[in-house]
Amino acid sequence: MNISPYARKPLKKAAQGFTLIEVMISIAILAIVIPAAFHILNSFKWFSHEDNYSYALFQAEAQIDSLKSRPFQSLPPFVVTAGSDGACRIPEKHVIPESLKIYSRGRAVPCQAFNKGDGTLSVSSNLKGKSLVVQCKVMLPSIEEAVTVPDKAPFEVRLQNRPIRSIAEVREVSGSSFKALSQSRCLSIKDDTVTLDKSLAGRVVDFTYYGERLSICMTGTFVTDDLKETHSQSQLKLITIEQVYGEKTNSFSLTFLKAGDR
Amino acid sequence: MIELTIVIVIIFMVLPATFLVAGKLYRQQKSVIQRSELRQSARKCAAEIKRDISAYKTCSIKSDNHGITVMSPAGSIAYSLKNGALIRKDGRGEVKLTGSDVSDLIFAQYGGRVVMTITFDYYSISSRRNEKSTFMEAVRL
Repeated sequence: MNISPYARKPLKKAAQGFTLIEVMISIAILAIVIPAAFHILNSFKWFSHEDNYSYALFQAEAQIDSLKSRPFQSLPPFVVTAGSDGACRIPEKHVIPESLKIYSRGRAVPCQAFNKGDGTLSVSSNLKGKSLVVQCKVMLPSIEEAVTVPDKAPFEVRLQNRPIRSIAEVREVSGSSFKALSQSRCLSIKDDTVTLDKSLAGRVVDFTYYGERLSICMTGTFVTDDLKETHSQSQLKLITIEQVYGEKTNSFSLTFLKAGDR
Repeated sequence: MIELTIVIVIIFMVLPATFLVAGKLYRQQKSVIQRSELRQSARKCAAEIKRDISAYKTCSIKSDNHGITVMSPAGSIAYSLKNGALIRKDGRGEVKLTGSDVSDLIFAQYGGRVVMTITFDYYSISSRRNEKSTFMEAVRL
């Protein structure tokens, strides 16, 4: 019999490898296990997102309520008058400098300098005495967060919007009244805890502060009666609040009408 | 022999990692369930208080801010902390609204809004230590 040199020799049992059915079963098991693992991991992501979402929703309600009690002129955009040297001051400390846009009689004018510390901005001295509309993005703090200071040392409290960036206001709560406290009574601020003065042991303290878990910004524009954006001063402002937490963003708008003008 | 050695080495490399990952997933899942239950409990209490306040309109916060009283025509309904549990007390008696794991309960009034801040103490399976979980709910808008 003539045997071709390329003909395959039968394999020994030990060298046979996996059968098709074994490979299929392995792939089927992997196909079930891998998506299940991803699903579980995603559900944890969803949970932390849900946790942040609840906090963001609570803050949104609180911010809307707080903005309603603000005077019309303290909401962006601000209307200021340029001084003799072209300098003017906006009534807000937490402005994001990159967001500044200045308009004079509806036309954009360049901002020459902006001092973040005291909110002073400079425009060309040609604009002295002119009324300017300053559009900008303002950072809003986390509000309505009350905590009980422990009776025993260390007198530490943990805040929700952590890590804490800075504290704007600390107040002692007693029934329905609030008493502003000096910031020196906050002895130290770590990532998520604030150590308070011993004299506040057992008291309820309310914080207004800036944190990193949830950042809240407010922007505003003047709008006409039919809600069209205008760069000139009008009696209506459209305020947009934007909340950023993790990779998610919530945004909602409110219109404010100058009191006594309608 | 070499194949057996390779298989044993692979098993020794893969098995501990698999157990670690499986353990972590299990603990995380338990932690998720724990926190969800606490949040649910906080929302349930807030809903109960909100219902009473919206039905009877008048409420007053205790001077120490650790409780609230709703005035109803049949008498007052008080919500406060007792033995680590949030209780609702009216003329007919008291009802426990949570387990005995509440470490702090604060009511504060901001303008017209009344906010309840409730803190639970629980043993976290995920971090294997006692932790606090705080939830804030507006009970009157």
